[in-house]
Amino acid sequence: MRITWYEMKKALTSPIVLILFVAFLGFNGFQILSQSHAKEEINAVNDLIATYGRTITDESLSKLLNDLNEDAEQLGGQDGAESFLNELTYERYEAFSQTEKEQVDRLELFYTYYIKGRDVEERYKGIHMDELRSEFLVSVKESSRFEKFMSQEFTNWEERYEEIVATEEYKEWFFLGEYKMHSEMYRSLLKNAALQSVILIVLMTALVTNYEVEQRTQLLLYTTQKGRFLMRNKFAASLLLATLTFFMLLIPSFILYFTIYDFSEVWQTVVSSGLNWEYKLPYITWWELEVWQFFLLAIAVEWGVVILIAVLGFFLSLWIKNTYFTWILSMAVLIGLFLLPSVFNAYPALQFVTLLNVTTLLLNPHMYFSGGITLTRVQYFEVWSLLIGFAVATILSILSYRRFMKKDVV
Amino acid sequence: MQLFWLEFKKIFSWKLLLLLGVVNFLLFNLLLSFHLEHFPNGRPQTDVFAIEQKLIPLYGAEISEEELQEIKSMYEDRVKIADELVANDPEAEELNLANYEDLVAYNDAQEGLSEYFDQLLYGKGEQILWELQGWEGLIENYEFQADSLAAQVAQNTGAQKEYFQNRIDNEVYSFYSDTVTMNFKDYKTNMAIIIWINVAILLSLVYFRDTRAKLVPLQYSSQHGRNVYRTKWWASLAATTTLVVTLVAVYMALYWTNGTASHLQLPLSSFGWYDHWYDMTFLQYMLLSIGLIVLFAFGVAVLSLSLSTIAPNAVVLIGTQILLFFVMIAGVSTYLIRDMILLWNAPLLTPLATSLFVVVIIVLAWLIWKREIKRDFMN
Repeated sequence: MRITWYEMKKALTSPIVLILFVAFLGFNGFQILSQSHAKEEINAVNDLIATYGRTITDESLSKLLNDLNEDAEQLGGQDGAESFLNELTYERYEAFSQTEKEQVDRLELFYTYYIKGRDVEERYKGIHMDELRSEFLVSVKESSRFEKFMSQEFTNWEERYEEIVATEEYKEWFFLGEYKMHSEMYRSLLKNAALQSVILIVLMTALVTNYEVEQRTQLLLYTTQKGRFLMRNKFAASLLLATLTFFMLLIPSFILYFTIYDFSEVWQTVVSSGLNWEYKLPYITWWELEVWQFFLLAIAVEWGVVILIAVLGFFLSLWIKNTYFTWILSMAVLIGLFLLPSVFNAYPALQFVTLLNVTTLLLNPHMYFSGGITLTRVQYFEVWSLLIGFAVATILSILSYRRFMKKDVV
Repeated sequence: MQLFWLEFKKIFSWKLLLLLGVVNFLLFNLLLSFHLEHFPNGRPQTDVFAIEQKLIPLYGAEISEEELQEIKSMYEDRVKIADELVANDPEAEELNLANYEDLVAYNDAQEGLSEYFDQLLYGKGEQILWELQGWEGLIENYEFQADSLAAQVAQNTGAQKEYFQNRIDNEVYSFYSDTVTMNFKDYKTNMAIIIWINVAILLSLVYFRDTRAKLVPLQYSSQHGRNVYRTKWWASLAATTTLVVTLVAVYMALYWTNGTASHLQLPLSSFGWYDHWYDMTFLQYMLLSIGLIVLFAFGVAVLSLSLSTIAPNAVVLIGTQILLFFVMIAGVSTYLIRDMILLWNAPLLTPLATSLFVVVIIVLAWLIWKREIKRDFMN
């Protein structure tokens, strides 16, 4: 354990690693802050949930409308909130005092929520599953068995959609889809932190693994009693470093994120909420996941990906024995894996198999656990990708470790 | 001289060439192939490009009143095809559409019209309807030009206002779209990133390899002495030149397959969507872009050599390169390459930032040389 720690220190005490850490954190912080101009507006959903409850029901909607109408009356609107807002002109708005303006803004915002909440049922039930199915299956019609499999997946997803509709799971308040909070949180922040850790992890793994060769101490070290078993410590150090790096980048970024955006009431909302509708489709998740569950699971999956990439770096280090080339080749392998599926555009079954690689998971945390009309949205996609990744990583590591144990030390 | 060639050959070792081949293949597929395969990207861009290729040899950059009438009559000829299509379609008859004009009247009150239009647009009318949209876009843009320039004058202040006022005064109106220039801007930005990465990979090991092998004391105490350092520097710059020229040639040859030669002689002011501080032909703009990319490639070369000299280990080498490339990709490639002389950036941004970059590079190189020639190499 002590040796593992010393191996880790070789990477951690390198000043450039610390500088990169600070630079990455600064970049994340800058990105969060530069997006945060509407934070008060966004956070208002917490008041909404606190007052009217998490679920959107007819009673809570009519209560909300009543309150809005009263507010409008206080501001001088005689016929309720809707006509008040419709008749609101720029001149009239400017005539209000500062506090009144804030009230008007709030009224307008809550009225938007009211409209979205009122219409969510119609909108959600208006998803045409049949159209989506044909759109989805157009790309996979080639091989019959594969089509059967994908068709079955789609049927399962359709059932899940029907279940959501039947249990009214989607009727929960969430940030308006226009704010793109789900994308912001996962596609921007989590993905960036994961990418940044990949850059650092491969560098650290290569440094630790190749250290003896680079420092010309391998002849001395590998002939001691501890000898080549040192590589086990180096492997453990790589994995620990990967974990440490990932969370060191993630935790400060998300602390800043959650101090700016208030999630206190939203944590228990389901991700499949009908308001969480950013693009063509809402996030129709395979399971009923609340925001905090999705958050923790997404981090766990990215953590697995990051560990796998550390193993990749370790594997390449054992063969190349040169930190510089190891780093470049690791990045090249990752880019290659990312590009690989596009080679098989004509063979959907092969394309599906090649999509089950770590880069798909690395780059798309916002699409985890959700069904949809692309090949990557099947159920358990994350589990499969990780399992395949771990199988490949284990085999490669064992092979190269055994080779390392036997080969000439020089 | 012999040492120079030996060093030159050492830089281009087969291993490194192989690595560069792999890196170029991957980065080409990641960053560039899209801008070749998907040019012109979608419709009506495809049609606009085809129309422009037809019109440029006939009328050139400036369109006179007569020429505009001729272009309009060409458009009218095309409209007749659409008229026929509509006239012979039983479905159109049901909707009481006699010709193309009725079809695009955008009569909201008439039920089923917009659905029918969409159906034609993505069905049997695909070819002609998109083409007509292309024509209309170009012609309308030209006819409203004076108004939109006047609006720009009203909206802007300072030098930008002056620019638009000048265009009104001199009656510099643009007829063509920016389909071609936008594609070139995307292409050259990504090409710049690839070339810089290549240069960094090529040169980062030149001195570092010796440091790691603890060769430096041997080199500096030999008869040739510290001239080894200089020779390696010149060999590296020669290698950079070779690599950059090759890559620019290959990637511009690939760009050539987009078939934009027709637009080369047009001035930038004849492309309607973007405005630039200086007016030059597209060819000149292209050459200026390449010149700037090459200049920054040599900057990256000097930085990589300096880093290679002072880096104590590979982690520092790579870590600093990551930071450098963050600046090069997020800053330099966006503001100084893509938006080089764009009207919406400060006019002095590119010249000043580039000069500053050059000065920093020269000073850095000078400092590193001085240090290397004097330093105590046993440390």
